[in-house]
Amino acid sequence: MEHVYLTAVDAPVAHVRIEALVREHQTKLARYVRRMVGDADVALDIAQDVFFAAYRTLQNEPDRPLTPGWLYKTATNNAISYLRRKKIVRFTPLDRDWEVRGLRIDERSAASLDLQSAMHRLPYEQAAAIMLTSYAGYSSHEAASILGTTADAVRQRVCRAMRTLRLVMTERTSRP
Amino acid sequence: MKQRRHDRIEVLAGAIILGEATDEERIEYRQHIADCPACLIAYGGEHELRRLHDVVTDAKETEVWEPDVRDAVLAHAQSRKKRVWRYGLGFFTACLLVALIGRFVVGSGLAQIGPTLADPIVVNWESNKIVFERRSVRDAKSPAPAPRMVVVHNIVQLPRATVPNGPPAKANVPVRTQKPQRHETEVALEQSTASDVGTSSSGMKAADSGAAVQPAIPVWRRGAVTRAHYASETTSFGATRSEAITIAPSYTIRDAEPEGGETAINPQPAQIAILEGAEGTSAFEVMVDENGAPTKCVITKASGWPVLDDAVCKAAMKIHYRAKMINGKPVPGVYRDAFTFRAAAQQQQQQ
Ligand SMILES: [Zn+2]
Repeated sequence: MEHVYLTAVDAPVAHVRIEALVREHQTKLARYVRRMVGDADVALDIAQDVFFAAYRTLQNEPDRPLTPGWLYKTATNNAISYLRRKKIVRFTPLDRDWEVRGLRIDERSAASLDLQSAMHRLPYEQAAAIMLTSYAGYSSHEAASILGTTADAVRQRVCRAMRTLRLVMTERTSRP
Repeated sequence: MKQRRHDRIEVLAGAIILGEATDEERIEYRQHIADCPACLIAYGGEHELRRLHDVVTDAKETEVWEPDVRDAVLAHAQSRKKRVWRYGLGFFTACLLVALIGRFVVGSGLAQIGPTLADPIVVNWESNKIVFERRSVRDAKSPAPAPRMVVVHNIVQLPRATVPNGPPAKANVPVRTQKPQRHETEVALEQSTASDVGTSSSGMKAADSGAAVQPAIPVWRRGAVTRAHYASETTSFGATRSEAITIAPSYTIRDAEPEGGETAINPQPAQIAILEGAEGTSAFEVMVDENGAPTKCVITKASGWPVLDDAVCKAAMKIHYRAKMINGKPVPGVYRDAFTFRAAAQQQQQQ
């Protein structure tokens, strides 16, 4: 009897849970994607798709624990496949205006611009590694399980990504 | 060996950046950069590594963008419920389709031989008539259907009645007695242009462009055939045609037929048929009483889409018929016809 009742309220359960997930994670997740793809509109689309996917999952399994890691994994995969599809040209000559077009004027601090310029030059795996760890706050072990690799691989990618960031910062300060 | 060593150093540097390195790992890194100027230049000391981490944290703290996807996600969740219902209906329709096709195949037995590329002739017979119908078989290279519909008006009816005093030996000889005439009309997606359907000029155009798509397959000459010619033919129609067998009836028969010609029946499938790309052939029989009024419509071959079959029968029941005549006397009769619906090619859509 109780089971029948639970089945009947499956959809509302999914609704309540998706609403809570959106409220808690939408800002961080959309900003994370925006750093990955360098475009606010695309980031919004991808963030929406992530929550759509979460809702579909919850509809089938209302009791499934959907961790933030699940959201970030889906978002990362979507962002990377977007970048692959668009064949965003990386390693282009430094063009800051183009690189930081996704950022609002009031978000353009030196650190913010440096990071975004570096993001445009990084290979996807390095971009995802640095974003999940230094930016989103996951440990190398957590990021490894999200990206499906080892913690050492994540640490190595973070190191290489930081090397590029350091290069970008050096370029900026040495420019006339 | 050296590459492996530097991979290890990169891992250590990453651990230091993320604040995850143990004391042993820090010492190992320190010792390496003391001996390796290349790594010191490339990555910097521990302090430099942590500073890079702070750059990322600072960048994050600059952000003020507050996107809101809540409404979009909740709206999507609402529409999902409806979609589940729609998919459910789709599954039901698919089941119905399978059941109808199964029933048709079993029910027809040997009576139906489908057209193939090598032999585009369909044979069908009943107790009193044999129908040879040559249909065009869609070439494998033909273009993909577009969301518009062409109604092919197939006249497969043969006005041959039972011959009580004809030679019985010849009665079973399968010879086609009358070419099936076809013409095509387009059902436009817009309601406003749907009224054009049935004009013979547009029918000709559609038929011609259709023929151009399938040059390799012989098809019947197409065209809007005036029904008057057909209707005036009250007797011995077989005798005047070289390709028809002569089983001349001894009295005049004129079968039931729609008033205003075959284009009088004008099926208008519901919008959903066009949107779903419904295709198929609906064959039907209309019982016509001696006054020419339709009394019953039966689908004899379902198209697989109830929406198409419904439209055909609805259109067939809406019009008036000329009653079947035997020696000038009206009697109850049957009018048989078929409509083939298929999606129009892209070019036709642009016309
Ligand atoms: Zn070294």
